[in-house]
Amino acid sequence: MKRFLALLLCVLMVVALLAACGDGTQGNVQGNVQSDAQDSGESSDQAGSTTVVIGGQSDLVTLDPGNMYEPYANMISYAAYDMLYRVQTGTMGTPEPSVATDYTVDDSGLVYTFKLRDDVVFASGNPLTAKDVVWSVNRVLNMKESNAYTLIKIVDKVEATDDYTVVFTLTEPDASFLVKLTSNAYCILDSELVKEHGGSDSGGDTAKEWLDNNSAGSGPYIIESWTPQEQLVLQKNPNYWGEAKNIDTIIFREMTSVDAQITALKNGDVDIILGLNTETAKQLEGVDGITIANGPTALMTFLVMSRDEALSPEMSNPKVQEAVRYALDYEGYLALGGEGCTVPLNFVQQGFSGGLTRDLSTDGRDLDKAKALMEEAGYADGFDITLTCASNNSEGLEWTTIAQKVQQDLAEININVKIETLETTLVYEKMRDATMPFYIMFWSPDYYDINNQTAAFLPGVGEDGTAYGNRTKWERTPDNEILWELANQVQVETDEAVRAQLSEQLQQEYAKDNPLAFILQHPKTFAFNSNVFDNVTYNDLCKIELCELNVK
Amino acid sequence: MKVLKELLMQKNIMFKVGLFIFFAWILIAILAPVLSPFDPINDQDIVRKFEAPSSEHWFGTDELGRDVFSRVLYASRVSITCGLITVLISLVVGVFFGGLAGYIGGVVDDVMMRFSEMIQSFPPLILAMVIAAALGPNISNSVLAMAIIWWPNYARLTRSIVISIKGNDYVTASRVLGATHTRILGKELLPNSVGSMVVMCTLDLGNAILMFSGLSFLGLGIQPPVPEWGAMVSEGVRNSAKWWISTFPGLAIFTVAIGANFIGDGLRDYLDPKMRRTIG
Repeated sequence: MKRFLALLLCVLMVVALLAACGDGTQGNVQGNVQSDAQDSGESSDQAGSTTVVIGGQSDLVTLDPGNMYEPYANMISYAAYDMLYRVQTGTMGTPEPSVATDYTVDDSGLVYTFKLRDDVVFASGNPLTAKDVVWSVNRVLNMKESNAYTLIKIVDKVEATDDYTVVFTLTEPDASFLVKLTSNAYCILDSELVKEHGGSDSGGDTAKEWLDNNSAGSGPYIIESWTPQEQLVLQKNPNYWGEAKNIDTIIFREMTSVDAQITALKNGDVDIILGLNTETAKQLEGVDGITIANGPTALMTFLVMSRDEALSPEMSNPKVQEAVRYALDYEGYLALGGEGCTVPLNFVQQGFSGGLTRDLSTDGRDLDKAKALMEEAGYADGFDITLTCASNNSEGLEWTTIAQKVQQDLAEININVKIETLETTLVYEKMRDATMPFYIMFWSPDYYDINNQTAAFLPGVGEDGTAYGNRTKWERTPDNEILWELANQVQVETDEAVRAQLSEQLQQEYAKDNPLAFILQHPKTFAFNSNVFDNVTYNDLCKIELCELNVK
Repeated sequence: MKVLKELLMQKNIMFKVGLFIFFAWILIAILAPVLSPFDPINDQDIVRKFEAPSSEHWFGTDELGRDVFSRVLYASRVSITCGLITVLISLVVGVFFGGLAGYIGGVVDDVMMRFSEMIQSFPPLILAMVIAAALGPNISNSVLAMAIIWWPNYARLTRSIVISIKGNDYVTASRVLGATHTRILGKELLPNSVGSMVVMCTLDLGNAILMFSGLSFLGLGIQPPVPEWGAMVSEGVRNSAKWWISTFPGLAIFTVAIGANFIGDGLRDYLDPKMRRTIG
């Protein structure tokens, strides 16, 4: 009996294995395709109308712009609403005028005056005026429990001086204000309409429930229906004030499994899929009629080396940390990360003001220099160190893979790395407690500006392990005061050219001494049906730019 | 020697196949450094990652450009050793525990056996996962975790054998002659369980290797970069379009497990007189 059971088990295992390797998608896909077919029966092309279906896994919990904070939030908020400034297509948070035509800022850097277009109308037909802007901002300002509040709390007060002029007064100078202005927190709502449904700009707002299933904006689409975890339907806004595209309906369909997304795209059930990464995308390589594309994200992966001597007297040595940076084989990591990856010089992502990449021809791997630094530090013979690695990945690149590469790179300079893999949540906990000498981590900013980066990566920042100054025990000292001086200037400098220059200078100074080794900045990989679209554009704030979609 | 000869003289072809497979794997484990064309850990070559099987890389290359063939060979060392150690620990603990419980009997027996049943009442893989995760994932902890869930089987078997023979006349005679409890247990009772234990150990060896691979598959066994079959299969699943990364370690797990099972079955047939008669 036991033999049969064992045999059966082994045979089953091999069959399952072969099935998984051969075409791993078949099993769970069939069910999905059927349900897709049912769905598309009711929703796809009715006579003459154009429907686009997007498959992916969003994390949307609400569609109320005043409450949204999730990574996919702005994909929807940009389709249904307008802001004063919006993200320029394909960029990493670069603001461009939208409802506002331009702005002026006074010498204190506190008072921003925006001129508004006078031809903007809401989907309801109401004209968009300054009072709607003021009402919408005040609404979120009075929703302190909302996550979106963190981006709007910089506003002290907002006033309409006439129908098409809005004046913002900030609590402190903030050069990233325009960037913050492009997020869902600053969406302009149709105040008349939202008030009818419980909206209030003085606290006690109850419009969230209505806004979860409807929209009150001036964007090219209106929210028709939303079933969380299932699908979201956007309809063309008939009263759109701008130049309309040729799509009538956009359906975002929640699909948990990447394999299901891939098959649905191959079968033509969906037109765009979002769940890919550099590895899974390979299943679509060379498939007719499908284009794999990628867009830059602000996601960075890096090594953290604590300055805490109690954790590791060797690894906490700044010279050793510098040696590690010179020992890493950046070309190798680029190959691992796949197309679209870059190596940032340090804490400022490419795409942000003055963001620099590491020049691999002059500043790449240099083992002689690394060995010399090790000798200078007194560790020519090397030492043992544990590299903690969460069971996590950066856009599909497993951290254990990175760890094994790091291990081999550092073996060249006699650092004997022992890899320890732990649960991700456990690693986060240890990170906040600052109890690991050496670990792999990633980072994506809350808003797309260098100010968010300085708040996370300068020496001494972050009480109780909330940012990397504290997490690495890298103290603010007279020696690195220059970093703070430059960062403070970047923080408030409103002239973009000057700001970029300051930012570059800041990164060069930062490169001289820091406790981190930045490895990669990752791309987001997605795929679309090239018979339907010529191009699908992406920016990291909005993910897929729904407003730019245009079918052939 | 005579026993071995008799064993091999049996008609049981499965037993011989099992023996062949298993000893082939042990040879591979011992000779891994000689047989492997590449270093399983240090021969990284990112440029040549994910290459399909070729004359140079028989089983292809993995995500860091390492030779899968060499890694499969080297992984046998870890898997087989860990399987053996798990079974040995379980055997020692189980025989001691079960022998004592069966010999003393009464309330002590009840308490001891309820304790071992308590452990058995948990789903084994889940319990092993919990223990390995709680202790921190590394190779010795996962071996320990497996031993913890495995020993009750041996305890039960030993206990039942001890109970069934402790009333025999030769045991009574030994006691009358003034033998100590230790002597009775060690010289008269436990040697009678050796046959059953050998069968159980060989049968379990395959299962232990399977479970160890399972734990590694879930990221709770061995730490990278040391090659291990389960961990390699898991890497292959992440890169499901590259069939060779998981297929070959999967086949390795399959052959070792089935080999051990064949041996166990053959031994049982040989050692069990009732079975032997029916097989002829």
